[in-house]
Amino acid sequence: MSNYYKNHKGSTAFKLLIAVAIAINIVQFKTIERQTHHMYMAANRYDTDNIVDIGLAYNNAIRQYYMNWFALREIAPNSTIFISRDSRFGDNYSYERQITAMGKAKRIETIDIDSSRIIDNINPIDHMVAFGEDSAEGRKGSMYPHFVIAMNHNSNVEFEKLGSDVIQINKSRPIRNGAKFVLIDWGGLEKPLRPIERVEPFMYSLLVEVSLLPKEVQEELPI
Amino acid sequence: MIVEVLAIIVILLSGSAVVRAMGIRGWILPFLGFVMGIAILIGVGALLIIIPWVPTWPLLMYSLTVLASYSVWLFLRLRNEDLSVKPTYLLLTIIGVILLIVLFRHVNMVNWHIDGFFYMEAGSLIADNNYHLAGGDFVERRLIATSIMHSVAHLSGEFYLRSITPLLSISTLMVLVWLFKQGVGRYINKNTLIVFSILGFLLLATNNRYLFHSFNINSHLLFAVLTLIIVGCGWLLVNSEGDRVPERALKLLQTVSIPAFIVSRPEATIVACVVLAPLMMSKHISKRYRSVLIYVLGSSIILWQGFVAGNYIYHGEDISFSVLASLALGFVVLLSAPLFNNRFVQDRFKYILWLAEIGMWVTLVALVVLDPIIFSRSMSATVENVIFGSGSWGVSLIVLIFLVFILLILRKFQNQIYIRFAITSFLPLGFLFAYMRDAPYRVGSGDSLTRMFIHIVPLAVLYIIIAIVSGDKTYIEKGSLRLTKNNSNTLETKWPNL
Repeated sequence: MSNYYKNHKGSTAFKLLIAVAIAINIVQFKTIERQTHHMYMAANRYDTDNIVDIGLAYNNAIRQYYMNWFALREIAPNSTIFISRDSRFGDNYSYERQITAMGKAKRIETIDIDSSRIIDNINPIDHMVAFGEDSAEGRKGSMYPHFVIAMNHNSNVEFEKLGSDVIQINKSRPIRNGAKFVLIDWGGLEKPLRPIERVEPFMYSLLVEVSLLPKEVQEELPI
Repeated sequence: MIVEVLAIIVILLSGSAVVRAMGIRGWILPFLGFVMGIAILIGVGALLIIIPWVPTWPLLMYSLTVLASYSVWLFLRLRNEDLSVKPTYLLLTIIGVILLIVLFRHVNMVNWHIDGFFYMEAGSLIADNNYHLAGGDFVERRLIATSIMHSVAHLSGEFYLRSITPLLSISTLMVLVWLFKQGVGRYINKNTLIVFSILGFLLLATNNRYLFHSFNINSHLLFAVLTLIIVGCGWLLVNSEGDRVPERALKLLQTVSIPAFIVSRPEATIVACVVLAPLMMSKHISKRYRSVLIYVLGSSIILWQGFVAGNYIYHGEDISFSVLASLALGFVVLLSAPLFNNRFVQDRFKYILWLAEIGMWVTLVALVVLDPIIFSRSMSATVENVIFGSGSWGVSLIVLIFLVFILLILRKFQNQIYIRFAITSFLPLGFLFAYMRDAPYRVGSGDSLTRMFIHIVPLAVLYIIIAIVSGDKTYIEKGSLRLTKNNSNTLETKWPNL
C-alpha cells in the first residue's frame, strides 16, 4: 500500500505553490481587514473586555433585544417582573426568555392590569434610575428598544453611561437584589431624555418598582 | 478569571485522560485532549438539557464530565495498562495553558454578531437551569454546543469564556498536523513530513477567516474541528495497518465527536450523515463498529430533534417540518444497519457515493428549475463574497479550491474517497441548504454560506498536504493494475480509489 506515497513527482512545485498561497494569505491580510466591517475583522482589538459594552455600542440588533434587560441586571438582579398583558410584552414567551437570561430576573408573571392606572398616578421621570434611548431611525413596532426604569429612589443625582451612551444609569447605582417591578408600555414624553433627534415620540418600555404603585394596584398583584 | 482557568483546566485534563487511556501519547495529547474535553462536556451538557427534570448547572455538568472521563481512565488503569504521563510534562502544559488564558483574556479580541449574543443568552439560561424557557424556534436555530461551552462563565457574571475558542483554534492546527503525520508519516521521509506539516499549519493559520473564527462567539470553528476529526479518523481507521494509532482511540475520537457535532449547528444532522456515509459503507470496518456508529449517530439525531420537537409542544406551537424530517432521518439511520452491512452495497460503495453526489447536483438543478431566484441570488452573492472580496476571504478560498481541484486531477492516495467525499459534496449541499431554509444567501461577511466555508477548510488543507506527498495518478493506476493480477477477487484493487 505504501506505493501511494512513492514517486510524488512535482511535489517541489506544489511546495512552492503552497508557499505562494501562504504568502497571499499574509499579504492580503491587512487589505481584507481594512475592507471589512469591524464586527467581521479577524484581528480587531477593542478598548474594553466587556462584551455587553461592545455590543450595545456597535449594534442596533443588540440594543433592540437586550438594552433594557442589561440595565435591569445591573440595578436589580433576581427581580420579579409582572408583565402587563396589555403591553407588547404580554403573551410572548420570548420576552420571558430574554428577561430571565439577560436581565437575570428570578420570576416572571403576566398579569391583567390596566396600565393607565399606573401612568395616571406617578411620573416615572421623578423616580428614574436608568434609561436607554437608541437614536437610530426606524425603531418602531414591536422592536423599539427605549426604556425607563423607575424605582423608589432619589432620582436627583447624575447619570453615567453604561457601556455606550445609549444606556444611562443613576450614578448612585441603587442595586436592589430581588426587587419587584411591573412592566408596561409608556409613550409619555414630549422630548427625548438625551439630546438626540427623533421623528416622532418614542414608545418606552417602563419598569416601575411595585412600591411606587398606588396601594390598590399593589394589592391586586400576585406577590 | 478563576472560573475560566478552572473550567479550561478541567476540560483539558478530562479530555486528555480519555485520550491517554485510549493509548495516545506525546505532543498531541493536550491538544487532542482539549478538543475531546469540549466534546465530552457538550455531550454531557446536552444530556442534562435533554433529560427532563435534571438540572443543567455548570457545576454538575463539569463534575459529570470529570467523572465520566476519569472512570474510563481508571477502568483501564485497573487493568494494568500503562497510562502514565510525565509529571513535568503535565505541569508545563498546565502552566502554558494558564499563560495562554491570561493572554487571551487581556488582548480584548472578540468577534461577535447578534447570533453570538443569542448563544450567550442560551448559556445564561443553561447556567441558571432555565433552558425550558428557550422555545422551539430558538432551540432549533441556536443549537446548544456553543452555549454549553460558554455557560460556566455566567457563574462569575461574565458571558463567555474568552480563551476557549482561541485555544480550540490552536488545537485544531495541531490536530491537522497530527492527522497528517499519522496518515502518511511512515511512508515519507522525515524532511518531507516536517516541511508539509509546517506548510499545512501555516496555510490554515494565516487564513484571515480562520483567525476570525478563532475569536468568534459561534460554533463554526467547533464544527470545523469536529468535521476534521470525524473524517480524518475515519480515513486513518480504514488505512490503519495496526501500528501507529490504536484503533480504539480513533473509534473513540469519532464516537465522542458525533453527539457534540449534532448539537452544534442546524445543518449538522444532514452533514453528519453525508460525511460519515463512506465509512458506514466501508468493508474496512468491523460490523460491530458499524453498529456503534449507526447507533451513536441515529440516537444523537433522534434525541436532539425529539428534544426540539418537545420544546415546540411545550410552548404550544406546531413542530416545524425540518425537525420532523430530521427526526425521520434519525430513524432511517438507526434502521439502516442491514443496508450498510450488505456486501453488495459495500462492494459498490464508491459508485453509490458517486450517485449520491450526482443526486445532490441533480436535486439542486431540479430546485433551480422550480425556483431559479433563490439559486441565482445565492450564486451571485457567493461569487461576490468569495471572488470579489465581499466575504472577507480575500482570494484565499479560491486558492484553496484551485489547489484541491488540481490535486483531484493529478494525485491520488490510499482511500482518498473517505476525505474527498466530505469536501466535494460541500458545494451542492451548501446551495441545497439555501432551498431548505427557503432564503437566498446574501452579500457580506456575515452571510451563512460565506461563514460555513470554514467548516471544510481545515479538512481541505489536510487533503491538500496528503495529496501532494502521494504518488501521481498515472503511477498509482499502473500500480493498482499490477495489484489486480495478484489479488483479483476484490473490486477494491481493480478500481483505483477516485
